Amino acid sequence: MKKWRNTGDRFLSAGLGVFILFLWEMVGRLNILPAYLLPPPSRIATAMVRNADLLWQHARITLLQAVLGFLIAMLLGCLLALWLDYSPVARKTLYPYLITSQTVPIIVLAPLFAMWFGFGILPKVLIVVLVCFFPITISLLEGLATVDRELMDLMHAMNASSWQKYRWVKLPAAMPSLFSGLKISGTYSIMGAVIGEWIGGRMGLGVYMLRVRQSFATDQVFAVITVIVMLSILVLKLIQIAEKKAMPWLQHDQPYEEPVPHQET
Amino acid sequence: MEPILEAKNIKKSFPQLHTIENISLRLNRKEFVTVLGPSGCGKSTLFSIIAGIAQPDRGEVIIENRDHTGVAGRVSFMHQKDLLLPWKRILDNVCLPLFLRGLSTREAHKQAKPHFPLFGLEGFEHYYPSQLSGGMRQRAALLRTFLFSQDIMLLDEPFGGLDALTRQTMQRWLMNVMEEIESSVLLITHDVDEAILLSDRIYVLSHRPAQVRQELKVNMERPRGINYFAEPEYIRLKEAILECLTH
Repeated sequence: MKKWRNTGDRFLSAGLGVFILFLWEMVGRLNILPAYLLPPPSRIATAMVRNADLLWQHARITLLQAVLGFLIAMLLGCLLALWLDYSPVARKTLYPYLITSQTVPIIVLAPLFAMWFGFGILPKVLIVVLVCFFPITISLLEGLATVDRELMDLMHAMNASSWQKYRWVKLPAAMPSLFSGLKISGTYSIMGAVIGEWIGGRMGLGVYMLRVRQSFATDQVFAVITVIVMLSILVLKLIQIAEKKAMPWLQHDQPYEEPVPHQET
Repeated sequence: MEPILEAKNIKKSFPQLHTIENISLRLNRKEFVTVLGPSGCGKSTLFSIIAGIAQPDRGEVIIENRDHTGVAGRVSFMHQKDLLLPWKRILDNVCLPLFLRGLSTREAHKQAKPHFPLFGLEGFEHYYPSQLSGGMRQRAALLRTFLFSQDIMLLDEPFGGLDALTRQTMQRWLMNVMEEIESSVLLITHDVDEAILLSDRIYVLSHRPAQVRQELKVNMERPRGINYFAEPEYIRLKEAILECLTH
């Protein structure tokens, strides 16, 4: 029953997508808007197929930068969150700066990074790290802080060491929260790489996008956008798969009816 | 008889809350003692102090003639909530205290498995806690408590979160289990029937600041039958306790 309902929901969602694509196509076909302003989906698809090789060349670089930056951000974010959770002094000292760091607009930072680190892969990866690490840090930090107080008391009563408290209780308890942060970061990571590429370089979807925009090839601009969306969804899906693997206990939640317990009289 | 655990002149206040005033109690070897008191009288605070996870303002906790005041990890402690780890299967959950002690998975499982039938958990080793009913989860929590320290167990309203029927089944089940194991148990409850059914002795506490109002011995043969509440001794005790609690 539940499964059927899910499939139904999916049809609804897909149906809406098809309907919007249809309207969009009509806007072009009926000449309501000229194709150089809003190319219809069919034109975008053609542009994608025609430039598939070129798109893949650029997408590869973007994907590499995004994944590299995301992994570094994950490592740094988790370490920072663990440190801040473990040491109240560090938390009180660093937390305000952590928040402040997020108010600096990335788009302004990007050209500076190019000045400092050149036009290679490094400044792009750094931007991805900057974009990604904050949601990861905050989500893990909050996950670690919201662990059941009484459960921690029990661990204390059982003489658990700090490491054991993290290993058995705090880290697994923080997993759902951590993964919501990872999903946010994962979807941002591609975008972060693209923003990084806007400041210059030889390869990458951001570079390619600027080129085709300057030559007014709107259909190709949309083709790039589509690729960016697809890559972001791909990253999100991968994280969702990892999430399921990491938290097997959430897959088993059908309650079991208690049998009559055995009793001596 | 030699007491295995003794709390002497325990006193504890929180800011603007005077919880415990001079409580002394003792627990003998293989004895089942209940601390009975009105809700919010500081019973749980008293247990935290005995378990060593809280410091008393005054007084001491003596276990086997040694001072254990403010030292955690000697006695095992069971809470009203089952506090099982949702991410671990039942077998690993009950083995937690053994893992914390540094045992390997295999050794821990080997130690825990023989106890599964007695605790009514046989066949459920590989279920997650969320798949079990409340009663089964409490039994798993009790087995975990038992595996941490078999000689002294503190049970803080272990059946308080269960529905009335399951609670009764669990009380009778625990009474039968007590015949099989050699533990000294200190139980907190505000359920008078539970106290009489399970205990050898009962301490009745007063309202805040909590003091021992009365100490009662339960002279009823074990195991107590299904109609224990028809016995004159039961009626006498219940009267005495209710008298004490309501005045």
